[in-house]
Amino acid sequence: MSEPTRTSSGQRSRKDLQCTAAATAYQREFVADLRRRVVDNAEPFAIAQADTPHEIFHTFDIPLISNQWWSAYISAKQLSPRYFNVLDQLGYPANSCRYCSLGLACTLDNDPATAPWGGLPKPTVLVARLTCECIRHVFGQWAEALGTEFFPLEAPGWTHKDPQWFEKSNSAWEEVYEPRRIELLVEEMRALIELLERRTGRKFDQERFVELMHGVNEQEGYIAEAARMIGDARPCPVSITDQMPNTMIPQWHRGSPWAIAHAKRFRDEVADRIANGIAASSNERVRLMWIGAGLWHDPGFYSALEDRYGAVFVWSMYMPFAGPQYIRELHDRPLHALASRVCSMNEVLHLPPWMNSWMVSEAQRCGIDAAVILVPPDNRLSQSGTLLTQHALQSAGVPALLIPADMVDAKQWDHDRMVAHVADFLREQGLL
Amino acid sequence: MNPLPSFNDRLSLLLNDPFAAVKGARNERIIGYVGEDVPVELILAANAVPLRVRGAANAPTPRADRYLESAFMPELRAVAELWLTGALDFLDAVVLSRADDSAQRLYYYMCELQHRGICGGPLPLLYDVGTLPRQTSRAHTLESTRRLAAALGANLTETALQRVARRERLLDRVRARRTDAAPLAGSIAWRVQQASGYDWRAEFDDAAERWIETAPSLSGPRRILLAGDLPPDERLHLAVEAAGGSIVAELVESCGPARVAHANPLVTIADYFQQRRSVAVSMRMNPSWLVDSARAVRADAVVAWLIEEDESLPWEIPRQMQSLAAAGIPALLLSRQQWRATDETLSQLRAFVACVEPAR
Repeated sequence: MSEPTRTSSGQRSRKDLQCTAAATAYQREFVADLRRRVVDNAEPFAIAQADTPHEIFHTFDIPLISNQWWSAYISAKQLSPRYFNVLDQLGYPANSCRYCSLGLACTLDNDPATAPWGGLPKPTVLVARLTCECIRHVFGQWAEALGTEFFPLEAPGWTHKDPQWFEKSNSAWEEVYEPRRIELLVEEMRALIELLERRTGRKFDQERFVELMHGVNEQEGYIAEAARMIGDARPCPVSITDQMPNTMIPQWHRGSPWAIAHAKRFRDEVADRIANGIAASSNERVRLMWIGAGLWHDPGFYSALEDRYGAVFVWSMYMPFAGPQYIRELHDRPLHALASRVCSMNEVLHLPPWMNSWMVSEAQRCGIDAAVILVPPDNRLSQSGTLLTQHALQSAGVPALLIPADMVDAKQWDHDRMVAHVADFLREQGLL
Repeated sequence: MNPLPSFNDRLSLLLNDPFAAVKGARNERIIGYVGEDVPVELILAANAVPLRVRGAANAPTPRADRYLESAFMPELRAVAELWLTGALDFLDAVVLSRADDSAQRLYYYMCELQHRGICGGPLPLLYDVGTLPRQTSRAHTLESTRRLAAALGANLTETALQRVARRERLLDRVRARRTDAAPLAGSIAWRVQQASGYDWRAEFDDAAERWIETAPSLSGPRRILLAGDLPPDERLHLAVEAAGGSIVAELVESCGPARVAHANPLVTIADYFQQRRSVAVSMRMNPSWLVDSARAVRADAVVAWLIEEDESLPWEIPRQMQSLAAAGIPALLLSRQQWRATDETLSQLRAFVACVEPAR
């Protein structure tokens, strides 16, 4: 059943799957519970970037607020313009990275009457990998403002370059990600575990952790299976606006019974749709690939291209990423397996050769006609690798369009103009 | 013969043609390095000639623009352009450090461009230095230092360490002369600092040591501390001097504590580079870093110069500006600047310096 949703730019995004509604309903309940635990009950909790070992916090049963999720939550409350303005007033130049700083801005604003949940209380710790220049400063200041500790993780260099990394990362992860990089993160995670034990008085339960790791593998296996089916099916059975929540919401809860069950339910619903010939678009003409973070302020952009032109976004990174980057054979070393999952989560999406070779492989697997690549103007990390990926795709016969836009800041975004821009590009390529 | 003109000529030659000194190298490997976070000792210990690689600020970068996105630091874009045009083909390798975000990204880009046959040129090498004050990062940096030494073929000896130590003493002397009551002009000191990376021969040190004895001083200029990003040339310095000032110190590149000698010289090197801090991290660690630094060099005012592509300093500079204001130290913030300062910026800078009250 279609569920049109209004977005901040006022454009409709369409959601067709029953399990999408189930996922968003679960997330609503989860958020209410999270708020109760963190704000009302003042339980220890953590703020962490998406590319950090969430599994450690889940094992401790420490509530975790992902910075990216919190940013999206703030955006959904229509508060981004206010907080960008706060940063401007505090003297931060307007070109400073927006994606990771909304939460900091909300804290610095210090206005409980406006802030979601009245603002976040003091967390036990903030955790981030140092994958870009600004994150150390954003999280450092945020920790200072909240009166707590920032626990940074190194993002070490990577000299073993295997363009086909995604074919062997599930099992040969030590070879793919380098033992020294894995070992460094293992040592850092051990220090983080010690810190959490010290601060919370809880004990890290190794058995529970291993069980969680197996659960994550099962969950990601279902998502990977769904990704394979969607890539193979003609026409595309599931739109990007259904793919994203059914991957990302369980991802925040990875390894939990609900997340495993939901991933299975999603896989099954995808299979049913394929078996019954149900398509995301009634008129699929062009199969598109979306490269970059989700366009959180205007998911209606995707639906508009599908509805008006039959240009269907068959692929976005979140779902196909689950297979190669999350599934890990444990090899009796679960912490090392986890480190291999986390230590390159960002790198494979933003650095050559890992990014471009995977994108080309995925485009070929999914029969992609053209790619649209998001290039945020003031964010080196998010821009990184996009031009080389564009070249690689074009060399492989896949036309690729770069669109300069931010994933959370809608200031420079014009929905109609951007939809027309993509349509013009597809016409130029003879695809419409 | 007066040694002053000859050293000034040497500086001009190097600054006009950074490859001038290494062009004379015969049967020697020449290894480039980008930034101050690379252990030159290891290049020297590999019996190779080190060369600091920079790009020109006013040169177009059409080839680099095809592969590097807009947020790359322009210095690295200029280096990429040199690489892609073949201007670096005489180098055996170029060492890039993970301490610099754009530099470490350039490492991956150049590896890929070479892998795809889009360009050739020197072998890109990454110095995977840890950036956190933690034992695990220290151990990782030591292992990275060993790997870099092996990749370069370095057999570390006292000679290489002493060579670098001598150069550092020389540059310390130049820095000390800048902070005298009658200081060495900032623009000249800047030229020495820049040119020193292009010529690691002992003759450069010999000539500089002779020159520094007689180098001219300025009489009571307005003393300015420059902080922020690394300018590509001395135009900011000259603008300050045109308004009756002199830049007595720059905080524009990472800096570290004094080296602590260890029985294993690789440990000495690794610890030194792991403990170096970027300008932004130094600001993060000390909210009054600019105030403390300004007082240490008796600066009358501070100029903070941040280029558009810098992603870290914008997060720290507001707090530093507040502490400068609280300390009553005049400060000019030039943010979102072009790498090559515009005429408008230079005018603004001159006007600011002209209004600074020098302490007497």
